[in-house]
Amino acid sequence: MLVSALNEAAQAAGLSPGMALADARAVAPALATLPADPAADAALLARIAAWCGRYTPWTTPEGEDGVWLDATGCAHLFGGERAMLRDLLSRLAGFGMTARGALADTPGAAWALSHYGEGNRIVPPGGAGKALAALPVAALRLEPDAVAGLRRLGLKRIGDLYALPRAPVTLRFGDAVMRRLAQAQGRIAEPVSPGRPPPRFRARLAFAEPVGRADDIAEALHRLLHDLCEQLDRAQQGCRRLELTLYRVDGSVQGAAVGTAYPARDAAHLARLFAERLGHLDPGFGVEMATLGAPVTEPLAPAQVTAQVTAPGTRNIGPKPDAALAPLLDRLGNRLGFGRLVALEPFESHLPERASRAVPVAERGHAGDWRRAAPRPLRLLSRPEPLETVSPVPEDGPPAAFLWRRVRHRLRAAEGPERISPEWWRPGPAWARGPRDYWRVEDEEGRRFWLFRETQPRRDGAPRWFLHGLFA
Amino acid sequence: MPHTLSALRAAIARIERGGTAAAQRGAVPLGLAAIDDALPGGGLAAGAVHEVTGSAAGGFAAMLAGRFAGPVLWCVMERSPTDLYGPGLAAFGLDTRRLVVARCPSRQDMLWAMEEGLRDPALAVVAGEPDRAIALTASRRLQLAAETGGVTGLVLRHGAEDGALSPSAVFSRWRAESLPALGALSAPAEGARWRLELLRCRGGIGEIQQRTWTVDWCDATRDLSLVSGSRHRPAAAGTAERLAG
Repeated sequence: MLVSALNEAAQAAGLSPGMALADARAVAPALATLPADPAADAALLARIAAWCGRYTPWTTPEGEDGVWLDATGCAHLFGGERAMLRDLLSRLAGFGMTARGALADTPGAAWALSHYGEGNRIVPPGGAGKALAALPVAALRLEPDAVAGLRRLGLKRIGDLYALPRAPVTLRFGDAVMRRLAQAQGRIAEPVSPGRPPPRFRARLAFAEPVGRADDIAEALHRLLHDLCEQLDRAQQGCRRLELTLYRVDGSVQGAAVGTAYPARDAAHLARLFAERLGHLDPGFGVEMATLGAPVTEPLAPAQVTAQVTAPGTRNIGPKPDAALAPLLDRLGNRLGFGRLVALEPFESHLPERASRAVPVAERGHAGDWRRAAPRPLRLLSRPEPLETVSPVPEDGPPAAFLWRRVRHRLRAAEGPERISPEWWRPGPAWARGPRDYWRVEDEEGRRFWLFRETQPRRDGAPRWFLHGLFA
Repeated sequence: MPHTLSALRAAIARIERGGTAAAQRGAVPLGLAAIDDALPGGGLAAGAVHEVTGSAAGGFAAMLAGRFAGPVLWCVMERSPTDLYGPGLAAFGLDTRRLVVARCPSRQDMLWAMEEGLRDPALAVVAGEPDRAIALTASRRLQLAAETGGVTGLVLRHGAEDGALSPSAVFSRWRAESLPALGALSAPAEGARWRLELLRCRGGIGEIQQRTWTVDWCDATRDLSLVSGSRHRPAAAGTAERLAG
């Protein structure tokens, strides 16, 4: 059993992470211990990173105990860099967390200052070299071996490395030392990818007092939408997805997202899509900030697309109704799921189940006409159901009667057969038994069915009959 | 005297529909004079909810929806073992290019989707196939939504004798039963033969002389024609000739 983490009091008592628990107890008999739970720590860190979204959309957890924030262009919203950092740290302290933060041009310098810096931890542009000079070399995020090696050579501070020639250091300690130094100074780039790509369009609203009433949140959403739609309008973009994030006073984050079938930037319409979701958001003890991001956008021509409402009776919507229908489809899609709104399109195939293709309405292609080879049923069974044929079936004709779902249907008339062969280039289990002979049959009550018989006999010799469609 | 009666009837209709008389929305003719003449307004009332039952409910409803110009929303249960089939819908005159099928995971979702659709004037028709009967309140909501949006609702009910909608909320109720016709000399080669029965119609079914028709639907011409032998009125000219010849 090893010690994995310590609080300040334990550190003051002389303990260090990595020592055996028995040793630690010997040093500090009053030690209170809890089992380590790395998964919960990681989850907490992810939550903190999400909470940091109130400062910038670009956040991601770093290592086991850090969070990167790309605050470029965000500080002015909080009254400057110093005020923003103070705000961030004091809020974290308010949640009972011990946190250190630094702000610099490069991730390397910010990491070094936040972990090892004293006093001022805000580096002015271009000041990384000066700010880092007094810090220990471990602040460069080096392997312990490299740190120990440098120390043996008397190179204890980052400043000691500045004057060294590059080649011998690289030869001795590998590429990492000089690369980390250059990254910290901003001479070479250090790409860090965000937890999730920040949306290109984003609106943000901070409240002077935490709000909790549903009306207030709806009003906030209204303002955010107005702001965001203006941004979208300037860029001639429409959103396909919107994410509302509420930052609660207790540090937790609530989110709601809606999608649209077509690019949209009509604030009133988008607000309606959110209407149902707002009810499910729990403001807790209050919400102090809200952001609205559009992670997925598509070009949308400047003319606003709105529903055309014409007087009843004079409606003349052609075969492409999508523009006027978009608001309705969005509302339906957000509740039912956009995958459940489908259009039926013809597909060049003679297999019945492939000839009519269900595509999401947004991807509707307005394809051509249906093949009119022979009458086709109104409904197709998702999978053909085997039938019991009660009487002997003639070799080349349909049965005189069949049993389907326990109901006996005596046939009055039949039309067929229409032979349909599988597509050899698309082998599949459904058509593994070769061509089928389809019949259109009618029972004595006038109900019409679409039956088929497999042409390859089964092991017991008798051909099997299936029901594949209904004509009503 | 008849004038007074019709004026009174119009007044009652206005009261019944809370001022937004469905008659003002107009009616869409089915394309068969014998039926259209019998219906108030000369066709299927727009901006109202109609119920279709019987073994041929699906085909008849597809045909009715096809008579309207404009987008059609068709709500089905996601778990239904059958899927609407494009070529079959097209054969009943419904242009699938203006059709949107909503696969609803539950009946509540279907009722909600139908109500949303009925309220949206961008649609012409909302059809729905609930798996069970709809409660009175929900039926009334659908009818109100249809009046608000001016969209026509079609509620399909398969086979069951009892209606899907509460009687008081539905504008008209139809029963469409398949009749044997395959291979019959007088029947169209491709199409269907139905026995249509108007079970209920707001605005006074008592006034309607004939409520049962036997009709043929022809896939090729997309037309209804009266089959002779169906009571009273003389059959439509085309059918009569064909029978004669």
